[in-house]
Amino acid sequence: MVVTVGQIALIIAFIVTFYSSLAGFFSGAIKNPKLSKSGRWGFYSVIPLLLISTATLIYSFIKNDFSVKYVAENSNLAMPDIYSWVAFYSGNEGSLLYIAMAFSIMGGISLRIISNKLLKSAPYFLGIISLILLFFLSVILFLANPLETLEIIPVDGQGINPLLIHFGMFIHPPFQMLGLISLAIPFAIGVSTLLAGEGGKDEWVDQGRRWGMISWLILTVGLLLGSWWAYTILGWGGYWAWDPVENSALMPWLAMSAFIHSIMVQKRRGMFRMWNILLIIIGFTMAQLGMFINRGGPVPSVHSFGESSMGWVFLAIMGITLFISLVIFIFKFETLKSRRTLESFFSREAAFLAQNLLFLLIAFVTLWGTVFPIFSKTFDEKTMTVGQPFFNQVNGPLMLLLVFLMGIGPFLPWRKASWKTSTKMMRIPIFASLVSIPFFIFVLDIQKVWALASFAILVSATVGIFQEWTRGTISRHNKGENWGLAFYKLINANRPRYGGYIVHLAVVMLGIGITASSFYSIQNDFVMKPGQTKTIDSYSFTYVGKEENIYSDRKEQIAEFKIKNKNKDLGYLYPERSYYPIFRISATKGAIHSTLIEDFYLVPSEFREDGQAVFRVLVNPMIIWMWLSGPVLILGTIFSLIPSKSKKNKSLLSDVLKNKFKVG
Amino acid sequence: MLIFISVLLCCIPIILIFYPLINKTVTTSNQDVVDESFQRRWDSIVDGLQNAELEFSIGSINKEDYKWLQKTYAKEAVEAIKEFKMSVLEEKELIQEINQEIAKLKNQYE
Amino acid sequence: MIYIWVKNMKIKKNFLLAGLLLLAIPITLIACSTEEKILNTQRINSLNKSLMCPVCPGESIDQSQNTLALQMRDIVVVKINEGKTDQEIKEYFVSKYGPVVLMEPPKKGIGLLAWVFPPILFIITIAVVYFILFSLKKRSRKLQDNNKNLTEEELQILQILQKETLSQEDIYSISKINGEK
Repeated sequence: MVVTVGQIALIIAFIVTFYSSLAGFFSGAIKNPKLSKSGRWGFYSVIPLLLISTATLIYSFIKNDFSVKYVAENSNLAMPDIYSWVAFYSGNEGSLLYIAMAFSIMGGISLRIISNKLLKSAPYFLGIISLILLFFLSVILFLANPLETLEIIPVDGQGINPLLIHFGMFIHPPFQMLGLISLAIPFAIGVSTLLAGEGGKDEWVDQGRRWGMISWLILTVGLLLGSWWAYTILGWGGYWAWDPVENSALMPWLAMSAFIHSIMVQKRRGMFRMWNILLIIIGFTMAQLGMFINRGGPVPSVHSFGESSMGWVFLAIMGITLFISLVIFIFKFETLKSRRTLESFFSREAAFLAQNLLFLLIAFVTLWGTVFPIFSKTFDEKTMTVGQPFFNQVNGPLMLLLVFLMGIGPFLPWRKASWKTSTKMMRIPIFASLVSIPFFIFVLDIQKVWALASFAILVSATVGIFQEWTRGTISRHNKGENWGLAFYKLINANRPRYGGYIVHLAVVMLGIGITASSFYSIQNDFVMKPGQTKTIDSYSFTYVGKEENIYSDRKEQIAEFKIKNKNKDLGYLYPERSYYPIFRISATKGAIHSTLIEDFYLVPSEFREDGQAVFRVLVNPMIIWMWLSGPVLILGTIFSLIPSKSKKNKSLLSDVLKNKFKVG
Repeated sequence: MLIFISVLLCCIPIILIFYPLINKTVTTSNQDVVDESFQRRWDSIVDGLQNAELEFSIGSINKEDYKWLQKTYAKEAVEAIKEFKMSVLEEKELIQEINQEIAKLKNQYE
Repeated sequence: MIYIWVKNMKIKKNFLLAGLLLLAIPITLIACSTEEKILNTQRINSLNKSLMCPVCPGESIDQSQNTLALQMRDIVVVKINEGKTDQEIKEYFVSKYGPVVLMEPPKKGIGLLAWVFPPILFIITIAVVYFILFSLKKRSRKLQDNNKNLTEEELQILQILQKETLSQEDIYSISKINGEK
């Protein structure tokens, strides 16, 4: 009964969204504010409806109501209670409902803001986000309904995929899915600006930047959480496998990383208008492509939502959206022509363009690698795999180039740079970078070329950032402020810039973690009997014993280890391995001892009948820097989003002048 | 029971959709787009100048380039003011014309 | 005298930097050329990472917990102890499961296409960057370098732009601007 309420709410939501999309476009065309408002409020009304639908689904999970087909497929009686709250988005149908619900909320918030700030485009914005929501609601209602009931109620459900019983389940999927769909908002801002004929102005830049950064932030957090989750649960000691679904989330992230930079060029200089619209269209298309790869399964992936034949729907909508957006672009692109010009090749604008294209290059190379298996199959019969080695070799250098640009970019001022001044600024960072090379080689024993290059570039990027902070503080101090105040005011006076630097520092931290662990991880498999001690690197670990627990859905084996590093006692670790007979999956949980320098990672590969067990041990240098970069990145992004002093109280210059002109 | 709930659920959107249509909505003031455009241009010039000053104080740009930037921004500001003035005056003329027409028509019908 | 000293220092600084840069290259090359003894375990691990488990969705036999993957890992160990090279071991698996078992496309035949495409795309990207920048710059009017000094009006407006709050006088000055040279 409960889900029927949810079902009704869904149907009503569908009808209302249909109305608001029509209302949006019509009211924009005939310029009727009443119809606009009606459409808007209609959109807002969908939010409680979808919350109700979601609530009924969650309720069914909590109550183990197996009369609901989706609940029966994705949970069972043995599932820990707390996971009932999140199991609803673990499968295809439920995740779609989550996306629709979350998008309605985010869309509603953005709608409210856009209708106050971008009056002309607002009706079209409403139309576009309504259409997108309508698509999801249609798929849910007609193809993949999580609220469907079963005639015969099973006694117990199938259970959730065991790999999802992990803390990460609470945060990674919601963020990741929200991140992908949140790209719809800057997309809608851009396209609605075109439809409203406002392309010639840069009004949309502020909101475009804001929502672009918000969706970028959500995507980044989703990706970081996913890597962290993979690292701690999947038991292979890695965090990124260039899996098709991972790639499909990376591609829009790359496009948005490009966008949040090039939108600054438009803000500062009124340039790159066409480019930004195209870029946001590409970004959203990639997000939709991501949804297709995730649900259509054209390429095999560990992430696939199981067998699902509705992928083609997502491919189709991606194609349609792309086609329509490009048509609108072509019709309106005359309005986008800016009269600004590029003053010098050697300027920040030019550097941003190069950086943008580099981001897109990486995205397209990733796309190429992801779809190549399909390509090779159609042409050659034999499928080929494109895995980690390919992507690491191809994307690695490109990403390093990007970090290099990140380091020197800030030394190029807007409009034009003089060669002398820019090289003067680059002197210290490059010097530091060069000096660090022998340090890395002789002191830290780093002799792999790519690792060296990477660390050297990271050094130059870091020094470059601190150089500006220091110089800026000094110059303010010389004007009379004390050191603390000077620094504070420096940062505060230009939040986008300095927030950006904080984010770049987070990227450096990420780079440190990735470089160190990619090149200097040590891995080995050990066969051990209880009581034995083995060593790896400077660690010694003793297999004390194992505990076995049998539950209704799994057999759990927990090993106890005592570890030492250089004879210093580090305590006990408890790596686990569980076997789920229904799913025929073994899930492991690695035991990790983390320090800033390295992670000691222990996971059981196999428990043999004769009492022996095989353990995989890894020593991963500097991995924790990757996870630590997350909070820094979030801080930097939020800081750069804080709006500057509101001009509400000051009478607008334009108003005052206008009166002067009218009178004079 | 189910019907009762469905009717209840329907009410939310129905009320929200029809209320604006029926009500005399206070039409949001037709903000003068030209106003906004000038304000935004002005703000971005101020922003740009501040940024240039920052970069000069750090040493990213030399004195010559800084002076050149100042001139460019000043020129842009002058241009923006000119355009804004012209468009305000144009609008003023337009309104005057319309008022004249209305006055004429009024006279005709009196 | 001091001027010459400073100028010398500047030249010295640049020489120093250039010298360091030149030194860095041979140091790096020498350091990196020392042959690293590749242990068997490292060979096994890297081979495991470059072979895919045929029945798992996109996992290498190093990653996967599947029984077939574990069997394949054992075979790798056996073959390494038999003295086979990396290439031979890979070919063995390809003959059993097809080229799909390799984690990266072979650098021949249609697989080569996979590898060639990215560098080509890179070159195209550089060309596109250049083309866009060039077309943007073409439209630029010649920088009026002749008169760098600000006109009185421009000076006035500049001072106003740099103020935090504008007074009535400032507003008045702005309204009087008419862009005369």
